[in-house]
Amino acid sequence: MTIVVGYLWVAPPKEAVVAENGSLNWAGAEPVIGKSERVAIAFAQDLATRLQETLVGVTVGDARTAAEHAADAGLACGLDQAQVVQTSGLVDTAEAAAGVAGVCRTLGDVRAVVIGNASSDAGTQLLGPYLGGLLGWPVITNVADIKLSGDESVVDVERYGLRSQYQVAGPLVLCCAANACTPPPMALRDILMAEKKPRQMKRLGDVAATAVPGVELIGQSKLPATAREAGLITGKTPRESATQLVTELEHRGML
Amino acid sequence: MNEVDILVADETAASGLPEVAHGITARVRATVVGPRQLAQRTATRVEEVNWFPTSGAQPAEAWTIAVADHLAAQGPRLIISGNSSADRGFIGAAAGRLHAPVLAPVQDLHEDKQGVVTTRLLYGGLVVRRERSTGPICVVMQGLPMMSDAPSGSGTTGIRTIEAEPLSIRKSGAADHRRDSSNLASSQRVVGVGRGIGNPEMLRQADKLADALGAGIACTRPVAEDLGWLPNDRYLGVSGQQIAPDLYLMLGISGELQHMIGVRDAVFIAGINLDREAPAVAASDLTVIGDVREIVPELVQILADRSRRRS
Repeated sequence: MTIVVGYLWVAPPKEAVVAENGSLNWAGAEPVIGKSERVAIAFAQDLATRLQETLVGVTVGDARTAAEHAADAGLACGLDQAQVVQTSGLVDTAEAAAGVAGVCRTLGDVRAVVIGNASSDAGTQLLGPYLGGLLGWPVITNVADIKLSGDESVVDVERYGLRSQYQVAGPLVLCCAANACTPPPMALRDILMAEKKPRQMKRLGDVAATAVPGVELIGQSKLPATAREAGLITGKTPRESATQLVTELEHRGML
Repeated sequence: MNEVDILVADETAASGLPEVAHGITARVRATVVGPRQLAQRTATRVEEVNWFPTSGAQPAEAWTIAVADHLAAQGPRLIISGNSSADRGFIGAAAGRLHAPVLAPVQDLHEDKQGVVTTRLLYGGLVVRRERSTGPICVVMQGLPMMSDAPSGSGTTGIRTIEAEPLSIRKSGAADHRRDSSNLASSQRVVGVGRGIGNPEMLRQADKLADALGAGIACTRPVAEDLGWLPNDRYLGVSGQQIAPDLYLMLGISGELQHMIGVRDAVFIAGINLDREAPAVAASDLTVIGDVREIVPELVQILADRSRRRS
């Protein structure tokens, strides 16, 4: 049996420079494994360790991000093996899910797929459900903890500050909560060990049987800035500042 | 387009999606997952309803694949959902079953002679992208319109119950305490909290301030997802809710673009911030420079006094 964790190795969007015509310049932006995906890897690693199973990480990227460094980064975070799947163009939710699902089918004995709750697909939180649809597996989101016993899973879900428990039969997709665990700090030893761990480089066509038709890009622009007054209140005391704010809000008909 | 499919898993979708879909076609087919009342409510607004009844012990997640298979079998060109967690669960699975692109969060959706045209924010709100698809395509709509008084459909639609086999999932423990996100979307005043409030005890002060203003309470993504101080349905931003209140009052929010996208249509944005160089200052109409822990209690007091004087 295998535990699979999906992760992306990409530069944070805020490091990109956006031109007025909407084109993005990624020069100087360093790809990293995002915070919620580091949580997912740590969560999956703990699960694999408890079950004494192998942890396989799958990352899907374009020519720039489907690189050896993507494997190194994941392996240094605690993966036993890494599989890097390269797409022909930019990665969207459908292609990322197709890559992870394709590797799961190739491995054949996957017990659970873990992904981050938020950033695996640029915050749209659709990667897990899409993956579940491709594999025909249940998807549980906001996962705080899990206990696996044979074919049964008992999943603790934390939603709106309350915990509930799900009992699920068979393989499943787990979107773990951003605060499900705390990833351990990475040490130099982890980075050196990563170089010795197995990794495979693949193309999406090698693992995914059906290509997802793309959409036609017909325009892209920089989000226009909204002009605001940027006024300041700097009262001598908190009372004075608060009074000025209330007066100003009253004056503008906001109260 | 002959027909548009909508996925309804909550009240917000039941009221808002028919309006959006009728902007494209006269014939809207709804797949409803939930209690009978939800199906009945939807039936007043669309031309066809297929209903998956759910039970308490089996959570919505148990129906995702059955619903996705049902939708895929209909040969849809366009499926539209709302942006709640349940909505995304269903439409994501449907897109996977169809091997179709899924676009989110979409701000505008219309049809031209060549296909369906969508507009969405990408890369944390850095860019606006317009795309066209000939389908099949799945679209997650952001900021659904609130329910209007007049139903947009024929109002005489029958409800077809779908018998399906759910996935083997059972739920126990605490019941879902689903806050109604539409309350936030319809609030005229909203108080937003960020990490800068310092500690969860300050939330009580923020709540008091919200009560004094008659405001809803919202937050940044880290406050919900990382710190867990407020539920996930309270965070605003490019991947959370996008609202347009008359007043948005920020407490200890630095003003990162990803958050400010969620309130860019607010009429007036005010804030309290220690750092006058914070991005929030330039992104606001008015900022009190000071310690939120000192100023909020004063605001609560002043507003209470004001209220007493008026009553």
